[in-house]
Amino acid sequence: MSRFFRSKRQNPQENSTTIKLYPSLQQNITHFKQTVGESTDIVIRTFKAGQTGSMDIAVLYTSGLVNNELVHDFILDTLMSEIRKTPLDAPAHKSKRYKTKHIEENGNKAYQLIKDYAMTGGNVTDIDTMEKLFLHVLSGDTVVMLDGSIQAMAIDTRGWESRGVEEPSTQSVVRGPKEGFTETLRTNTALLRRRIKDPNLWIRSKPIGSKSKTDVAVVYLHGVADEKVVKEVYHRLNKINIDAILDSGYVEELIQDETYTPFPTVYNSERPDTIAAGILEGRIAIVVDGSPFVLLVPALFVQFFQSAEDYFQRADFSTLIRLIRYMAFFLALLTPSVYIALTTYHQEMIPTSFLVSLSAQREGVPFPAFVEALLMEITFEILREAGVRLPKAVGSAISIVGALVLGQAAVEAGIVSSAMVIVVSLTAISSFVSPSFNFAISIRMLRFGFMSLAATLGLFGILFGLIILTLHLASLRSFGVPYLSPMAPFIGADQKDAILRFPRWKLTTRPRLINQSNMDREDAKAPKPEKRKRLNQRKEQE
Amino acid sequence: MMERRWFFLIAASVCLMLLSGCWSKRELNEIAITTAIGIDRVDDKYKLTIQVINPSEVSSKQMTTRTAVSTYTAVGDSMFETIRRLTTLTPRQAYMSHIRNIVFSEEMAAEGIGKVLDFLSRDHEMRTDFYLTVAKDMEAEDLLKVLTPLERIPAQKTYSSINTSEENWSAVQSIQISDVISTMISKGNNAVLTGLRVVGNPEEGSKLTNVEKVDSPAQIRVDELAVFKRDRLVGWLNEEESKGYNYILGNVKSTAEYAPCKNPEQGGITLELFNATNKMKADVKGEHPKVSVSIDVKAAIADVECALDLSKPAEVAKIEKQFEKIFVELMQSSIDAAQEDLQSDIFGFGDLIHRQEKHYWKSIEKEWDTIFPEIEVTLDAKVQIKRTGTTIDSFEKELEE
Repeated sequence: MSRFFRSKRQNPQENSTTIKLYPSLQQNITHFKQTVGESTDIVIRTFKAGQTGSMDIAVLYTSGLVNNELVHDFILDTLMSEIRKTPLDAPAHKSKRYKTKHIEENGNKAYQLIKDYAMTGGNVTDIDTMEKLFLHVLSGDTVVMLDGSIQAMAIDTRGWESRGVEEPSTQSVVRGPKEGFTETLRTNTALLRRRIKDPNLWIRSKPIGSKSKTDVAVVYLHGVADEKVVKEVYHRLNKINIDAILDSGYVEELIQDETYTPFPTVYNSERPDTIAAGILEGRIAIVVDGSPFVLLVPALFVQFFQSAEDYFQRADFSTLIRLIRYMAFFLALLTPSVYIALTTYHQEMIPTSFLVSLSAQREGVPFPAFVEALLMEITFEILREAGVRLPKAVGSAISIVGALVLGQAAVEAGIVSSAMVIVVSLTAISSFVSPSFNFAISIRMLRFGFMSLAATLGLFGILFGLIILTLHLASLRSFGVPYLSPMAPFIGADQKDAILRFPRWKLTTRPRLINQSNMDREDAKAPKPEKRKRLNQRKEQE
Repeated sequence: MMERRWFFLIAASVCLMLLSGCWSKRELNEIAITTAIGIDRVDDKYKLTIQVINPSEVSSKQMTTRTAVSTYTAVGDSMFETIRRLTTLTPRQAYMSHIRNIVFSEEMAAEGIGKVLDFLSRDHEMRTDFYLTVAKDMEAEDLLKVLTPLERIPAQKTYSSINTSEENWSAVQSIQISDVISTMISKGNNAVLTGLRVVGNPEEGSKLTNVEKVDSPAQIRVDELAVFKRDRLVGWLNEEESKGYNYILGNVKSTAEYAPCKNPEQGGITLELFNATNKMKADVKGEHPKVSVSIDVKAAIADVECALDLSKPAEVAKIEKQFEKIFVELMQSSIDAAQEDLQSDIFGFGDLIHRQEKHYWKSIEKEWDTIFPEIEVTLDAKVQIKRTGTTIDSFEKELEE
């Protein structure tokens, strides 16, 4: 298997992209047209310009990806009408030796002239190879090529139809900003920049994917983020060798520390405030063009229990909610397995009257508790999956079928006991409490493992599974940071924002393992009224 | 290599889990939840009766014509053997973890319960929170057959009855297996067990009609204490003696005490006790050891039928004195019963001496059984009336005026 991958990876680069631009415009255009296969969305506009009308100019852009107004007003208009009276062979005062002999020299001079004096676009890049030419044209830039010039200029005219900034559909909050990331990289980085107006917020991007050339931007706070981790992120991104990146999930899977684990070691969020908070703690965000989900590394276990709202609400309330989340985590993970273990192995641990009513419910149920639980859990998973994929209009039908037909009818038909329905619904509800969706998935996967352990070994099996799980979690790393920190290794100072959430003025340091050089945030003091004595003293001084 | 290793690891763990075959797994509908065991003696053999719950009858909301519990009886040479023999009668295996009561018949208790206790404390399935009881004047089997209203499971009814009456009446004492074993093996102490008996006609009790009537023809009553010497039953304490026993040992949580008025025709006065503490002291200087017991009782006046002016502290003090006498009498009756009739040191005076005078105890340890009836016990009671209730003058007094 691994050999297969390796052989593919060693394939020679198929295209000859290092071709330099030809001095001849015609040659360039021919090559371009051949390579793009005369695709109809690519516009190549050639015309003559300059005082004598002897300079051939070509404007290339992809329609649909560019802002048409920009192209017309600032590029075509400029080139075709505003510099009509300018001799393009050379600046006006040196125009004596103009004719056709030194086309190349003239072309380059004219290029420089147009770039320096005429082009009104903001972001102009020089390109000298075919590879760059394709990249710029296909990503929405407009390229101006002059006959005789071995350079072409790419003007940023990107402007395609895109979704506006909307409320994120995941991780919604009651109180807090309702902005969400979109599919456009620039919008996303702008959302981050708007929250951190600091020159040290460095945003560096690079296209990844031999075919898709998706822009992937690395965003971090220089001087706060750990340089070693930043380097590691770049290193891992550079190592990616794939044809296309269609979502940040691709990147996540290719850069995560450990693939064979149910737990995510890369955090993702649709919320700019969450990502900005992470960056401020010294984490590194990876923004992928085309995906509203921004990645954040290093990601720790406790992070998946933190919601953006924890920081917008009062500290005591947030702490309570966080404790409930941890409780729900264990409920979602263990409720069915504990039920199975208790009812099949450890009946002595159930209070007598509860045992009597449980066994009355089980009277006539044909399957063992494990099969019963498995049946209901799988049914629920199917229902959930169906609910996600179904068109919204049909969605309500699923809930009716699920709740009434499967829940009630199964009990009445004597296939499952009603206690089991309660157990499964409790589990299901608890698994939705986790603010992070991909973390909830890992709980759901592990649940089945725990159920079979409980069915074969009882509570002993559950304990066994929990020990294995703890060992596994302790062995995980996210970009070199222990996954279970600040619990294991125990870091006292970071406890204030792990299971509990201390008041804001207590949160004066950044997480220690994420950020080793620049620990202190601003030192905030607890707000308290000035003592009367001191107040009087000050009055006297005044 | 990696893949092969993972494959073997997963295959091995799956095999491990499947081949163990859910060993000792028991589904809830495969067990017979036993709530009580009755132990009788028949011709040197044990006759065991188990009371088993019918779960669907207990928790169903509709009235059914079937009983909430069933009993099964078998005879065998040992406890465990008999329990296993019971499977010839029951459709499911008896599950012993939820036992609330063990009932010995009087005959069985008189022969000695030591051998049975070994099984009860050795068996891994038993929890140790059940109560040990003795059925008075009847077979344990018959007692377990009595159906009870309110609490559908008779054993649960007995269990709750013992608890409530222990807390509110204090003439009984809940005894668990660990208490019994530790008092039995001690030379200076002897065990008591809770007594149970059926009031009414036991034969009616096993019929469903017993719970269909407002006044059940047969009722299980928690009453009196069975006194043991070593592991044998030697006799009973009646209600007053039982109460005295609990006062001496400081077991009283709350109870009611009655005393007649100065003019007995008027009626009496009742106290509600809410706190009673005891102090025991041994004195070994004389020929026979002496033991002094003093109790400190805090109470409230619950009921006054006499014409008294309770606003006067002197009147209250008089009542206190009167009750102090009554408490001493109660305790004395209990001591008399233990020393004279039963000759069994149920109060643990021997242990008291052991704790206080270790060396002296060594010298009399072997003759303790003969010494105990001879020892002098001084009793003392102190009553404090803390509250007189929500009225001051009695209604009776106002009527007179």
